[in-house]
Amino acid sequence: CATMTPVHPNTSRVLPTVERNQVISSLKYWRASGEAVLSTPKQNENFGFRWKQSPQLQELSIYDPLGRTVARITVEASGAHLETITGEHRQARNLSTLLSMVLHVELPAAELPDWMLGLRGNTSTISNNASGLPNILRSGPWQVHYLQYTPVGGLTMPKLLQANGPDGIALRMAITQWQMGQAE
Amino acid sequence: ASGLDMLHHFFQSTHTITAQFSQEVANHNGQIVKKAGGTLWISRPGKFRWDYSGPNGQTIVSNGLKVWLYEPALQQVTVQPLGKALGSTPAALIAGNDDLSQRFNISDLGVKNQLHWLLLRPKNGQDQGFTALRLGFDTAGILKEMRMEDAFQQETVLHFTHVEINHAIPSHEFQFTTPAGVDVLSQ
Repeated sequence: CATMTPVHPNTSRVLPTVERNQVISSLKYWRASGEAVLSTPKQNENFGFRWKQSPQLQELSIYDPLGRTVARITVEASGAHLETITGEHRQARNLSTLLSMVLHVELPAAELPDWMLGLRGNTSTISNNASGLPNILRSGPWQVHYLQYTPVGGLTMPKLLQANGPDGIALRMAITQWQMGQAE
Repeated sequence: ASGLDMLHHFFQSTHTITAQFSQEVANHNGQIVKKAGGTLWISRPGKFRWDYSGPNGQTIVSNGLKVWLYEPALQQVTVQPLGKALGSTPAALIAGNDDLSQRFNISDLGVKNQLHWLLLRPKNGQDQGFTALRLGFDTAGILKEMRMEDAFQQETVLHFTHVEINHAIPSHEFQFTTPAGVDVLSQ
């Protein structure tokens, strides 16, 4: 049987899904950046994003269409801190409180990393694709649809996903850049 | 001409602009964190098209009433009223018709690097999303560079080259046709 040797993420051989999920969930450092649009019945908000994950700190930067940072939320054990382009500073217990201040919508922020990584986490699977990767995941009132995947080294990663939530809220994310492991 | 005269002259006499643009965002350490470029068409007041080059390059089009923002990576177009969509971005500032001196305190910084510079500071603090805007005009009074600073100490720099002023621009440039397979989110 295939021994679970620690595989460096950028081998060209694409890992089968079980091994892929093990490698990804064991990653301590990763980054995802791209474009997103948050739609509600009232409005649509386009923004760029970058998520930086590390053991001690998570950081979410939100950009305007020009590429300027308009908000940055850093999350540590001690709590979450928001900084905005208008010079505002806020503290809160967690990411979702601050994220809803920036995006004016309630999102299950704690689940965003797993959504981006395409990991089931504590969701229930509605359907998988042929290679066993999620097609649709359900998490409470949210359904996460995986529209496109892309190979990143040996790992197949989400490229385009859309999370449909209550009250007609939808978050569509295109991840245009992945960085698995620590920045060289 | 004084800097202020150039600013007024530019906005009074410029009806259309076509140009290539390059755009860089530098972080507080001066490192370039985002580079982009493309072509722009502007027909004042209110109409513009910014085509960013590259596979994921956005297209932003305004017909003077609505703004289409097409993101190829998202395979989606969002349509918003002009006023709300791009409040303080360069596109709205250059294409806008309102008198900048109402929204900004304007001071003349004189000539540097062959450009005549003006400093615009938003009158009511931060609402424009930037703390300072610098406009650089060449000797012919044409806008060649815009520099924006914001509360994150980032600097967004836009260079304009191949600038053509008051040439006729076909009206279809300010219409957006949705590519096949792309859905439109309108309000």
